Amino acid sequence: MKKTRRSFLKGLSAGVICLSLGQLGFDLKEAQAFAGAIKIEGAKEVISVCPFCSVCCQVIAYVRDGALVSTEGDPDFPVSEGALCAKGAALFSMYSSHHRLQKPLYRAPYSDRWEEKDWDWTLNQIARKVKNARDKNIILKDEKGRTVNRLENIFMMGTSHASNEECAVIHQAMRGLGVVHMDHQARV
Amino acid sequence: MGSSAALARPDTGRTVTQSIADVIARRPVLAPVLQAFEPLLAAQSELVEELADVLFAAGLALPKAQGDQEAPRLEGRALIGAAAPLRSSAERLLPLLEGLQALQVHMPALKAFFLRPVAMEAPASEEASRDSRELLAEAIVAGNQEALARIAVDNKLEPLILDFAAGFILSPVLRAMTAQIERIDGEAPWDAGEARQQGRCPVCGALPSIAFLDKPVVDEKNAFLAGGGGKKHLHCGLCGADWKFRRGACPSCGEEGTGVIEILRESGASHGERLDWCTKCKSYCPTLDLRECEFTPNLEAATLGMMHLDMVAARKDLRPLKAAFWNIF
Repeated sequence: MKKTRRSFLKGLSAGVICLSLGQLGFDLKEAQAFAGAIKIEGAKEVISVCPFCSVCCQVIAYVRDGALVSTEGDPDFPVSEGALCAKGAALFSMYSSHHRLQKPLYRAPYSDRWEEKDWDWTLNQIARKVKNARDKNIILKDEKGRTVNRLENIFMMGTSHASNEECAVIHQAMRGLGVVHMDHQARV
Repeated sequence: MGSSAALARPDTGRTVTQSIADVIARRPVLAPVLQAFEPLLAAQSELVEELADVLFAAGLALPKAQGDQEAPRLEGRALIGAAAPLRSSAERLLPLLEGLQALQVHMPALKAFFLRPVAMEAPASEEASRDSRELLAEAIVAGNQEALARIAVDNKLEPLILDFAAGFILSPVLRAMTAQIERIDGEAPWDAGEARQQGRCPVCGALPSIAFLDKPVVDEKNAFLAGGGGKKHLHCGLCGADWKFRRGACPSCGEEGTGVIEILRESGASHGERLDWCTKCKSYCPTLDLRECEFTPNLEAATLGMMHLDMVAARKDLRPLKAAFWNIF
């Protein structure tokens, strides 16, 4: 362990700047074997946003191998300082709960059961019904003859599960159809 | 809101002895190292309060912040008056350091250096006539290893031995200075407002030895509005200061953003112990999530007790933020 000033400074340049437990005479074989045997798991901390309401509280998402493993409030977010409401606290279950729908389900008129449908069928069905409703009910002009292109028979209820960007796209689509009645789950 | 972090500060938790007993109960394999250092850590902790009067008599006080709150208080400051408290600290700690076999042969030189009488006359302004213990303290605070090596050679000491012993002896003195900090609503001045941008200690400028995530604060009137806990605080192992820091940022390289910080922890019951490491510069800091701890441990004991994770980090070629005897293998 003899160190001269020269060798000390040489050690500095190599990044070794202090005594180690080994140099102090400790036998670390057992501790090293212990450290080698324990199972270690890692995760990436990703700052994200809770999608449930317009407060948009920041959350820290823990991601392992591309999969979400847990979420918590971000204490550096000045509005909530890491606190989350009941919905935000349950954010992880939105991703992981076995109760969430993973495929479109359809219940035909007067039927008492749900049946699985693929996305193509589902989207076509929605598009067809929207178009039928619009073709039938669009109000092109008001009583004074002014062009309004208003559709009062479709109501759009936004979801907290949609991001701000998704909400913006949905909003524009509804406006394009002439829908005037819109609201959002987080507001009601 | 500002007091939430202050309430969560881990300064009223377990003693060194209790904290080490907790770790040994979980990881008996670390007992030889932890038991060897327990008397030293306990004495350091006790010295902080005992040195308050010595500091006062020596006229050694923590300087006020000068405009820039980001600059460490002791940066570029002469530690005039530090010789007496350093001597008091050495009187208590050198007999305990003597218990480490590797230091026994160096003890006469260490005692000659640290325990010689302190000159009573007013310190001269010229560096050549200043007490070399004060110069040593300034070299350690400034991270000036060359000056430390020069002092070691001048006093017939090996630089690594002096560095090791001086770290133990200086720490209670600096912690006693940090304890003088004026708190507002229980919060240190550098924690007011937004989180500190620098990873270095606001008192001595050292990099942190450990971080902790604080516990949630329950506010019955606003149960869901604020205080979810998990705020990151960095802790300086040299002067004992704590300061808030951003969760997604690296204290070493300053990189910040999504995916910059990754964690490593033992699978299963990790007791809140983990390593936060930077994917950009590959440095890591042991971190204790107090939300998962039944008791708040002594942070110095907890740092040593997380040595097994330092070993894991070394195998992954990660670099400790603050190199110390327990994390260099």
